Amino acid sequence: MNYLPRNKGRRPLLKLALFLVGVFAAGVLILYLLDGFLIAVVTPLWRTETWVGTQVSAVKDFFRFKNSLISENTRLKEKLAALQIEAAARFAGGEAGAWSEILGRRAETGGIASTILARPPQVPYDTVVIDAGSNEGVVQDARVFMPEGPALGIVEQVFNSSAKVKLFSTSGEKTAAVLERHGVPVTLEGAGGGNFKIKVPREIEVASGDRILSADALPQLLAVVGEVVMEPTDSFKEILAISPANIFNIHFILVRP
Amino acid sequence: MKKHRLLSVIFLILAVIFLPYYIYLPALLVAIIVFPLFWEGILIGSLIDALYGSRLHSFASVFFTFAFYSFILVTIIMPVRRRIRSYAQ
Repeated sequence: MNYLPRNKGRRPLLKLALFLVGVFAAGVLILYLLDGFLIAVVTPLWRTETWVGTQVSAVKDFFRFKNSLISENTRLKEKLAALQIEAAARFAGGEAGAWSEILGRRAETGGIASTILARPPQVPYDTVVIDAGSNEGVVQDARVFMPEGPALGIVEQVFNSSAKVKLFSTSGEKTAAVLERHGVPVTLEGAGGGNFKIKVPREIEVASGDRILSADALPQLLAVVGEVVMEPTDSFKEILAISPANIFNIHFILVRP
Repeated sequence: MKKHRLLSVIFLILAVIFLPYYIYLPALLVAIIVFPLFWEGILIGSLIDALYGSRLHSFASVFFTFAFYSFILVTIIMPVRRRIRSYAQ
């Protein structure tokens, strides 16, 4: 005679699945309701990490001359890259300057300077967390720029002393832009990792290094053409563009409401 | 096992806060596979989304979160573990 074990549930997998659904629902609630609180809790840890990193690198540089030379070399390269970006982003006296004069608008300067607390690759998305929030005057949908000029993204969420910035290069994010060479309006589509894709008719002339500007009265540099991909049978060509800023290495940004 | 599990959860939380995603995402995957019914993985997925992800704009956006991916993975792994290891819980 066979006996069923008494302590064996009839549907153990179903019970476990329901438990997991409950945990998932709790997770979604955490995500929806407590994200500001979690960021507020983690912000001091990120600040400490930045501070410790700075101190440790200073001590290391002091004791290791060769490494200090390497780090100085890296710093100078970064500075050179920043100056190149600044030069590329300048439009003084150009067509854009003339248009803004006609429209009676002035190029915005200044803004709320803030430090980046978390950036890719720590962040799996093209998002950065900054240390300025509503207390400092940051508002939702404010535009975010590099100190050298190029536009980076838009403030997506604002907390008391921090904010999340969605970069234009976020995968699937679409931004209206203009190809500077012939003033062709295009849609810049984020491809993640500071990269963009654009599709244009094959007749449009595009070359590597061409600038892509934002489609507004005061255009800002958004991306630079890296590669143009086109098959002989295609009626469109795909442009792969890169952000002028190295998103893995940004330290400061400006928020302009 | 419980001690290892607790240590893994602590490591994963710290990794999410301080380390790059190419370390904590594979570590989360391994933890979900190795530990039986690693429901903590769903909450760690939620932590990643809460710290770094976008706000949920619609119901559909729930399906593009790390919490959901972890949930699916834990749910799929659960019966598979039962079949391949008779002593698994």
